[in-house]
Amino acid sequence: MIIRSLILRHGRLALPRYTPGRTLRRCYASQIEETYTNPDQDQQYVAGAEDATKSQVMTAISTQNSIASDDQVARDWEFFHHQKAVTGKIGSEVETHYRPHELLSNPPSPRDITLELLMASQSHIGHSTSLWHPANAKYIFGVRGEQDPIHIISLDVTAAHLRRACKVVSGVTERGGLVLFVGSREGQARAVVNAASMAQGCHLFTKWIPGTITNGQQILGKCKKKVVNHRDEEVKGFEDQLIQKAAVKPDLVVCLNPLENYVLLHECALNNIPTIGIVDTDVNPTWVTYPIPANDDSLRCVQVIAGVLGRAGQEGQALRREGALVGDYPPRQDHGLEPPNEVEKDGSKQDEAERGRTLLTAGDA
Amino acid sequence: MITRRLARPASAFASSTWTCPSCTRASIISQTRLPQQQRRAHHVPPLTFDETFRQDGIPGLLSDQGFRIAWTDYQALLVQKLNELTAGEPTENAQTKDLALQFARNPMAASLFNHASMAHNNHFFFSTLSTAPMKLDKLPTLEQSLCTTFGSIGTLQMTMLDTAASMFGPGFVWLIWARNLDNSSVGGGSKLRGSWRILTTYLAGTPYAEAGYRQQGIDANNQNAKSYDEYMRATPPVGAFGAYSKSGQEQAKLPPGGTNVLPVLCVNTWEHVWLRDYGINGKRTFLKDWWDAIDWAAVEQKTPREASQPVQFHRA
Repeated sequence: MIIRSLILRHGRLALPRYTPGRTLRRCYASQIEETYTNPDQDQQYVAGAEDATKSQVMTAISTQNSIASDDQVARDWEFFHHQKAVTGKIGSEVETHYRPHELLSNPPSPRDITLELLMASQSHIGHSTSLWHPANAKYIFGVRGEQDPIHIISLDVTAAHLRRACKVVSGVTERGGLVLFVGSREGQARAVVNAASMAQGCHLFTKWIPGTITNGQQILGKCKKKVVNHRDEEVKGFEDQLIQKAAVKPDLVVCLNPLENYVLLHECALNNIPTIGIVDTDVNPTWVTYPIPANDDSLRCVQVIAGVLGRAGQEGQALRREGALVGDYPPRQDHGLEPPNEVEKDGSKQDEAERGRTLLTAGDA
Repeated sequence: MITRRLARPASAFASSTWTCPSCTRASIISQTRLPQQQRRAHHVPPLTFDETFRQDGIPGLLSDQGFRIAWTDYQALLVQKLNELTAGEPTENAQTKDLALQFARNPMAASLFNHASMAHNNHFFFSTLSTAPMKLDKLPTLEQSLCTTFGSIGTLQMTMLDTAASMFGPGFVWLIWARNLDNSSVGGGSKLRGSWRILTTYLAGTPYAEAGYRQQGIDANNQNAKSYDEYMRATPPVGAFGAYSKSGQEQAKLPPGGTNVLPVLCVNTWEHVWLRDYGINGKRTFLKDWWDAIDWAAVEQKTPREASQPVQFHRA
């Protein structure tokens, strides 16, 4: 049994640095906030501080950007949102608090990983001690409970491993790699799709078909392929070469429930694809390359981790795009494609001319 | 007996397995924690010119002690009551407007409605005051829009101040933009989208139509059954051409006779606001000073776009 003494830390933040907060700029809850805004910036009002009053004055309500057309619906929409902005928050200042949908619409960033956030997301709660996997003993803080003891995962270990995983994801996306996010449990679909869209990768929230990588020729043989240049613009002219090409394998796989996806993880290991996975106390940590010891049963914890990894991917993509604009992108690529040759085009033109001449001469006797 | 949820004395610290039905487990927990340990959801909202007001008062309206009574102390009291009433409940993180709308029809939550609505109204009043108020003649579109409804700014001022002066008892007087709910485009093209209106709310009544049951727009003591019925069934005069359009009714979910309103200005006629600086018979003077102290730039920011658009007349 692992016992550690709990020392209360002094001077830590009363609130985590990331708190699900409100943003004034978002119109639709279904859109993901593209640039992360710190929700605490509105609350830096300190009575007596000079810049506080200035910051209050600067945040003017600018809701009337759109020009209302003759459409009544558009006018009603504008009025509704203007009324909400003007009168919604008047009366008292409500402390920022947890709102579940904000983990999906405005996920936290890797720099907002704090022990308070992880604890509030129940990431420290492991399984019953009788169900544990001894290989992840070093991630476990201790035991809680007398009748039905469970293992408690060390929060600092979780934070460290999660930060490392973020570095891996952002590094892969910065170099143009493809990240696959997998989460097949109920309720994980939205988090998986959000993370994949932020990292511009792929997602999977249903069962992994065994052999998708090892037998990819068969299973993914008919899937669409396209060629994009360094600026993510599609390049035409490679269609006939792509027919023979196999589907692209992911460069990194993030799995939110490794216990159910061991086949996927095994296939990745056979093909030298690094994997990141949420490793609970009953999961074998050697199944993944970069384990994140955390609670895979809590949807809040999974959404935090998926959100943070998605944001890391977003940051890597932004760096890659910046470099591509300047002209700084990796030159060597082992895709095996040849530039589409132009001889064929001239040949077809000649054929047409030939045909025309033969048609003309056909009329002669 | 209606039990009120106020802070109970230390006898609540005694642990007991049985709790009476009106006390939820959550509210007992919140009472057994020390005040410093309790997490308070509501705080006094910061005003734009809070610091200056606290030192010098509101120029031309209130002294610093008057401001302290009317805002600093009173709003803190309302916020404290709100925290006590909502501690441990699912609504503990709700905004004051949402609380007022949610509990308008619930007589058991009358105290919660009163404090939420009063906090909202009081903050609204102070949000239109500033250290350097802009005059209305510098905002021509707003001035023109107001003149379209009232004829002149003098009429608007007279109506508002007279209404406030004649209200017996504390309350608020609001300037609201009421939308035209009739969406049929008779006559083609654009017509008046709505109009300005002056609304009274006694005590802690709310101007929002969704909580129209607690508007408290009249002094019920002055009414007989017939006039009270008339008030309850009153339909707004502008834009009511027959029955309301279906889309307007559906989208608003308003009580009968309600309309889409947006308040832009209000005056707080509660005695504790003006008593210290103006004396017991200084209400009129206070109202006159308030009119000169209004920051019309803040009012203009609240005004919806459709109110400041000039009316276009199309040739038939």
